[in-house]
Amino acid sequence: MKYYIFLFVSMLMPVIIFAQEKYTISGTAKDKNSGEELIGASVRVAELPTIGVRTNEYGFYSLTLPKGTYTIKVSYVGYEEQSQVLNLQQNSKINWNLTKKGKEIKEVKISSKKLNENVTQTTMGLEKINMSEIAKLPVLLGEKDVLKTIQLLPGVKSAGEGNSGFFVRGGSADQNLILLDEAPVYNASHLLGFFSTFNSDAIKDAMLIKGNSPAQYGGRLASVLDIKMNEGNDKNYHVNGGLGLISSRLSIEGPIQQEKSSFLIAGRRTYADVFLKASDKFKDNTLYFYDFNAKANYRINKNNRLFLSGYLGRDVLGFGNQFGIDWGNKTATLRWNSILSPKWFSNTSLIYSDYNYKIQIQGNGIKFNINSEIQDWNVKQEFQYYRSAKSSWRLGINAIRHKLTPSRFEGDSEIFNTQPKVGRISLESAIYAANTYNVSDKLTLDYGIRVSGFSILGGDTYRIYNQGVLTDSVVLASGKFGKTYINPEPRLSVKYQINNESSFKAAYSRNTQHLHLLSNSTTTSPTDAWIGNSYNIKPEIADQVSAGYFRNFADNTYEFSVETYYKQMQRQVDYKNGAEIETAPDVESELLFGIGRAYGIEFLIKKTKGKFTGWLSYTLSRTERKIEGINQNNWYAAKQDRTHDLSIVGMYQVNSKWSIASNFILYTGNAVTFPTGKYQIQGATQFAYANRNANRFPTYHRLDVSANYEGKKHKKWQGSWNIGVYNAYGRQNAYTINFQDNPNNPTQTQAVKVSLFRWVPSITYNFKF
Amino acid sequence: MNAIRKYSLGIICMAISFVSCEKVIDINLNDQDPQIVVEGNITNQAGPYTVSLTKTVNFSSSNEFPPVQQAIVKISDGTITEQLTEVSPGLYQTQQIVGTEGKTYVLLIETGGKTITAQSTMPAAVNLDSITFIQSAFASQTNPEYIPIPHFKDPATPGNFYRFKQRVNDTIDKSFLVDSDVLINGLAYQRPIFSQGVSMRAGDSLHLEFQCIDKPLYTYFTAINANASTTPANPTSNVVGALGFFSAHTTQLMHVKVE
Repeated sequence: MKYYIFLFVSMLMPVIIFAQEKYTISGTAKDKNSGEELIGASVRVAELPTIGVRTNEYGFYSLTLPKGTYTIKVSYVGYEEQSQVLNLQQNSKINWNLTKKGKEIKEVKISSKKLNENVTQTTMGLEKINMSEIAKLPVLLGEKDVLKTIQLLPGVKSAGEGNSGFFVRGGSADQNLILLDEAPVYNASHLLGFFSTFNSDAIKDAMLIKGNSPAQYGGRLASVLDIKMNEGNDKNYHVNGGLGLISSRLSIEGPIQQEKSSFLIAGRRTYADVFLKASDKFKDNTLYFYDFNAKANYRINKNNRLFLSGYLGRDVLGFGNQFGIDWGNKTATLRWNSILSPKWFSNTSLIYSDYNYKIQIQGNGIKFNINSEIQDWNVKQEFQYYRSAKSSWRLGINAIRHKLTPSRFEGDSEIFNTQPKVGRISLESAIYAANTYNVSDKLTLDYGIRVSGFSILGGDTYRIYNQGVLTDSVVLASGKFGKTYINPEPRLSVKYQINNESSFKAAYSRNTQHLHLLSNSTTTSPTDAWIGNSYNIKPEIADQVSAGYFRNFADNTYEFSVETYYKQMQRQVDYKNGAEIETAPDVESELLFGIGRAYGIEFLIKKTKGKFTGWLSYTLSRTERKIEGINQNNWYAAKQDRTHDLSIVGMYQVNSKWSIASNFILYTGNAVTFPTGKYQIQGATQFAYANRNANRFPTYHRLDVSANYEGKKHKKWQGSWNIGVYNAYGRQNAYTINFQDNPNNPTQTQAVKVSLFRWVPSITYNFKF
Repeated sequence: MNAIRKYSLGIICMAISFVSCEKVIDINLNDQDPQIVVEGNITNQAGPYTVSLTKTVNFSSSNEFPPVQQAIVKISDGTITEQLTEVSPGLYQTQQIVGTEGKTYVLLIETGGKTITAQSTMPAAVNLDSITFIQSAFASQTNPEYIPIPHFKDPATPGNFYRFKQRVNDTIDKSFLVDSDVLINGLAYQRPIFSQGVSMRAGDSLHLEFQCIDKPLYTYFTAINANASTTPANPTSNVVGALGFFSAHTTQLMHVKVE
C-alpha cells in the first residue's frame, strides 16, 4: 500500500511545480440533429499538438491551459470537424454541436483528417464498436447483433455456431462484465445463445476492454463490454423499425420538452412460434422472446442532468401446458450528472439488475416449479477531476447488494419437500482512484488502484468443505457480516508515442471476480446458476500483462496493431464430473478449484477510409486450466482454447444506394474429449475416455455475405433493405459430434457430426421517419 | 433435473432442426490399451449372482468385447468369502452367497497381475405399490405416447436411491434411469419416468424393474447420463482399478398394460 501512496504523490509532484496562470475550457459535444451526447469525441488544441482530451461518457470535456489564444478543434468519427478560435483569459464554456457527414460516399472526397485514436489512446486492448457498421455486416437470420460483431475482433472468440456468447483472451463466458447503462446483465442471450439481449436500435455506443481495464471497472476477470443506450432525440420525433425473418423491431424517440428532456422506447419480438404453430407436431409448443429498452433524460439546468433507463427481456418456451420455462433480465439505472465546476464532473448512479428463470412442470395432478434468481442493488458515486491539460483523475466508490437464490424446487408439499434454500445476501464494494498523466509529449501513464471487497451478509448456514467432505459449518444471523475478502487491484498502462503514426503500449492489471457462474453444460443454458464467494469459494484473481505496437499508414487510412498478452488466473471454479448442480443440497460440496493460464498474440489490420473498408484480425493463442480433481490434476486445454482464429471483414460502397459486405471466419476446432475406446454395461454401449479436451473438432470456417439497399429518401420516410446469406458455401461445421451405436448395424459404432446453419438466407426491411 | 435440461434444450433443437443436418464422419481417435470392465450384481432375490469381466476395444472395432478369462474373482459379505467359478468365458458365478438387505459386499478380482476391488451396500427394500401413466407432451397428440409413473412411499430417513429398468413388449430400454429422495424425502413418490430409450402406446405391456441402490451407484449412473451433455469423462465408480460397476441392490418386478 505504501508503494501506491508513493506512486500517487510522485505523480502529483510535477503538476504542482508547473503552477502558472491557467484557465479551463469545458463543455459538452453533441450531435446537432438529435442532441445525443458524443462519447469520446476528440478535443484538441491546434497550437499545442500534444494536448488533447476526449469527451467522457456523458459528452463532457474539460481542458486547462495557460492563458493565451488557441484554436480548439473537435472531431468525432463520422462527423464534420469543427474549430473555434478562443482568447483564453478566464474559465470558458464551449458546447459543440457537430453535424453528421452526409452520404457515406462523400467520405472519399472529404480531406482526410487525423483519426489516429487507436495509436494515441493509452488503454490497451480497447475496441470501439461502430454501430453503423453492425447494421451492414451479414449475420445469422439478419438479426444484427453487437455481441456477434465483437466476435470478429482479435482476442475475442465465439462461444459456438451462431452463438452470441464470447470468450476474451482465454476467459470463460462469465468472466465478461457486460454492462447496459452501467447495469450488469447476467445472461446476455436469448434462445440459448442464438441471439443477444441487445436490440441494436437502442444502442448508442459499445466498447470492449480486453483485460487491462481502467480502475473504474471491476468484478470480472476477462473483459468489460460497456454498452450505452441512446438518449433519445431531444429535438424531433423519430420512428425506426425493422421487419425481419424471425423478429420485428420498433423504436420511438423524441423530445418530452424541446431540448430539455427526451425519451426513447425500443421493442423487439420474435415470431418463430408462428412457424411452429403451422406444423402439426409443434402446434402446442411455445417459443419466443421479447425485449424492451426505455430511456428518458431530463436537463434540470445547464449543469445538472438526470437519466433513467431500463431494460426488460424475457424468453418463453413450453410444451403444451405440461412443461414451460421462461427466463430474462430486468435492469434499471437512474443517473445524475452534475458539472460541479469547470474541472469537476460528478456522476451518481442507482442501479437495479435482476435475472431469474422459472421452470414449471405439471400434469396428472402434479405441479411444481424450479426457480432461481439473482438480484442486485447498486450505488455508485464517481468524480472526474480535470486537474490540468496533462492530468485527469477519476475517483469513485461503489457498493452492490447481491441477493442470489440458488435453484429451488417449489411444489405441493405432499409431493415435494420444500427445499431449505434461501437467498444469500452479500455486499460487493469497491473504491478506486485512477489518474491519466502525460509525463511528456511522448509518454502517457494511466494508472490507478481499485480495492474491491466482498462480504457475506448472513441469513443462512454456510458449510465448509475439504475435498468435498463437510468439515465445519457457520450459522450467520441475517445482516451479520461473515467472511470478508479484500483485494487490491493495481492497474497500469503506459503509452510511448513514437510519432503521430505509431506508438508502443504496455499494461499490467489485476482483476478479481466475486460472482461465479456454475455451468455444467457444453452450451449456454438459462439454468446456469451464479454463486457468490463463500467460505469455500474465494475470489477469482487474474493478472494480465500485455504489450503492443500500433502503427497507422497512409494518413491513417490503414491501422495496424499487434498486441501480446500473458494472463494467470487463480481460484478458478469447476465442479465434479456428473455433479447435479440444481438438486444437490449444497452445490458447494460439488465444486473443484484450480488455476488457469492464457497467452497469445493478436494482429489487426484495418482500412478505415474509402469505398472499401474492413479489417483482418488474427489471434494465435493458448488457454489452459489445471483443476484439482480433473484430468489427473494435469494441465488441459480449456474449452475456449483455439490455436488460430481469423476473421476477415469487408464492406464496399458500390454507389450511394448499394453497399455489400462480407465476413470470412476460420478457427481451430474446439478442444473436446473424444472416446479412446468402448465397452458395454448391461447391453448399453459406453465409451472410455482418457485425457480431458485432448481432441479437436474439425477446423471451423464459413463465409457470410450481405447487400444493403438504401431506398429513396422521401420527404419524411426512408426505407432500406438488407439481404444476406449466412454460411454462403454451406460448410458443415461441427456443432457437436455424437458417438453412438450404428442404428443399421448394432455391431458397430459411429461418429455423427451435427451441423446447424448452412445457406441461411435473411431479409430485413428497415424504415425510419 | 437432467431430463428437464435435456427437454428444454430439446425444444430449441427441434426448432432449429429445420436447418440442422447430421452426417456420419470418419474421425481419428487416440486409441488406448484395453481396460478391464467389471459388471457385478447381487440382489435380494435368490442367487446365483454373476460378475462378468470384459475388455474395452477401439472405437472403430466391432461391438465384440473380449472376455477376461481365468481371473480370480471373490466376493465377501463380511462373514464368508467365496471364490466365483467361471461358468462361461468371462462370466463368473456365485454358489453360496445370499443377498441380504443391509449387508456390504466386497468384490476382489485378480487378473494378469492386477488387483481390482469394489464395494457395495444393499439398501433396505422399498415396496413399489403401483404404476400409472400420463400422456406425453413431447410427442404427437394424435398418436399419443405415455409415460409411466411409479408409486411408492419413500422412507422417512433421507438417503434413498432408486433405479428403474424398463422393457416395453420385447424392447429393452438401455437408459440408466435413477432418482434420489433429495426432493421427496418421506413423501409418496409419483414422478414420471422420462426416458428417451423407449416409447410406449396404449395396449403395450410394460415390465418395470424397481431397484433400491446405494449412493455410489446413483452417482455412477448420473455421471454416465451427464456425459451426454457435459465434457465427458469416465464416471466415478465403486470399482477401483477398472471400468464398470458392482451393484448390491434390491429388486422388484411389476408388469402392467399401458393405458
